[in-house]
Amino acid sequence: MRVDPELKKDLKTYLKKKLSDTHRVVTVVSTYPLTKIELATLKKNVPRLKDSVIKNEVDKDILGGLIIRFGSKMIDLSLRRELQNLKKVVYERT
Amino acid sequence: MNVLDQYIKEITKEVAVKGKSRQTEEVGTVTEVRDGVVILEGLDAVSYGEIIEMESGESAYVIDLTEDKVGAIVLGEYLAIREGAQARATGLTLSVPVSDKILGRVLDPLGRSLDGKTNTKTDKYYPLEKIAAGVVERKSVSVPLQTGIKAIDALVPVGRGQRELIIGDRGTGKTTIAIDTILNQKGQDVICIYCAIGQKNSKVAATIELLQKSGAMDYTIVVSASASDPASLQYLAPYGASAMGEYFMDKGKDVLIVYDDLSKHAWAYRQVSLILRRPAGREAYPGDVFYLHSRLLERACRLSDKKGGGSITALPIIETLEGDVSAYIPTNVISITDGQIVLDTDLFNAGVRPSINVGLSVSRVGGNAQTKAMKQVAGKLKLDLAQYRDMAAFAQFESDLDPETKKLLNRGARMTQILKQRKNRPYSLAEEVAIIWAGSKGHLDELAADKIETFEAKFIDDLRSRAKTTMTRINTNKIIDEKDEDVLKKFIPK
Repeated sequence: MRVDPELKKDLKTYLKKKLSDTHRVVTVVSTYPLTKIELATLKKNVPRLKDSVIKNEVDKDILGGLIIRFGSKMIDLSLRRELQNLKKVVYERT
Repeated sequence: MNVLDQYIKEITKEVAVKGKSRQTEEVGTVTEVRDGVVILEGLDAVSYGEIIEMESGESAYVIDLTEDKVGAIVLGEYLAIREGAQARATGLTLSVPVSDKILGRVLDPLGRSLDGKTNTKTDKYYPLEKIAAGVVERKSVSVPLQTGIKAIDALVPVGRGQRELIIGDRGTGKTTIAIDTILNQKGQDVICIYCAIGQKNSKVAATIELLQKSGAMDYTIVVSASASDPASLQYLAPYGASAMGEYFMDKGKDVLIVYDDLSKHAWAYRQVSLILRRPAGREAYPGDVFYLHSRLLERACRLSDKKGGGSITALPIIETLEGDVSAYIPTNVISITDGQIVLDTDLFNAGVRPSINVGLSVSRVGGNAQTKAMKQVAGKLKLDLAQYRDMAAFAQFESDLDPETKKLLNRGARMTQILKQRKNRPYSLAEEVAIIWAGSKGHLDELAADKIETFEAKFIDDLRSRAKTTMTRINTNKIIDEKDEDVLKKFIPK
């Protein structure tokens, strides 16, 4: 099958853009929708967030704190995780 | 309350530390759960052989990395894992906790307690998968490992650091030989590891009971992944046992590991591979089934003096079907090991126990390790038996034989009787040497074949009680001289 080179070029740039977009999208999970001020503080404190598009998700199950996700990487700052860790420590000590 | 107070104190201390930073983690989501295997998405930067931790607390071991998916075998209960569950990489490789305290324990392949006692507390871990010692770190096999079984010590001697396969049909006494060898290591400064793979729990329990009753548990570790354990654990069991053995070997000790049995291990690996959709080869085994066993058995070795001089002797067991030693897995393992002990159903049924097929059994390196005393008496034995086998087959049709042949047949029949041995009754070197000496010197030629067993029992009893000094001398010097022979002669009835 022959593809129009013009079309091929367009497709390539489109895919490139999409890929870099997904790279730039960072999901922040919190228990309530974050305000602009909160997001700004977050951006200031987490260098990774500086030039990325932040997607705010709400999940009450994390109990408190934040989870920052980008690609397959995650920074878990939630209360749920702290409690899980505590559970593990208590379980292991006994 | 005391414990709780301690926790609270610890937690407050932890909270008080400011600026605690969280590391970035690798995470993935479970997309599929199959028998003991999970397939995940994400985990872009995970490495092969890494441990990942599930939300439910289970850990899994990455053994499959494809372009966009990760396959991992679950170490333990996989039924609690849901689709969509999160998993995170830990950056650790699979390892077992080791210390001197694991002696006498019953453990699972990851070193977790199976005997109701507490888990071993140690900060020393040995990796399950380790590249075997290289050429310069090794030494050739030179010290014998006495199995306590006359037929083996005389005809297919095993040396420390050797890999000797025990192969035979079901119910031919493969495990018995291995267990007897463990029993005989009492006081020999050898650490034994019995690794049960895919066996019935009842059988493992019976084995442990036997070991305990004979006082062999003091220097033995039992590693068990039974038939009801997930295939993933059965797959890991021999590597776990090997890692524990390496700990003791690195301390300069001699270790004996029995892998009972590797055919079930190959089955477990086949199951895992097929679930991971790896291409199947002959008998549906994956392509790397040879490497599966070669990398395991290559870890058995004798280290050079520079490395401490420790050793791992491996006694892998393979079960054949209908005596077919040319099936896929048996030929593989035969070619990997330094010899094999072939057990025969027909011999077993004819009452020759241990049912060792002397013609097919070989030991490729053990000859260098055989003690001088045994060499002195067994050299003749091998010849006698070989001639006997040749003659016996065609002498059946001849009615009148010349006296020379008659003598040969007579001798052969007696030697076959002598090599019989009751199970769980290992002999010391001196006892083995004494009875084989009596047979190969022709002292028993006039005795009826069915009287040999009673004679042997009395002979050994007499020697144990009335010729202690001679026996200890043979045991320590590992040589039999004319003086010893004179003593032995006194115990032979005219």
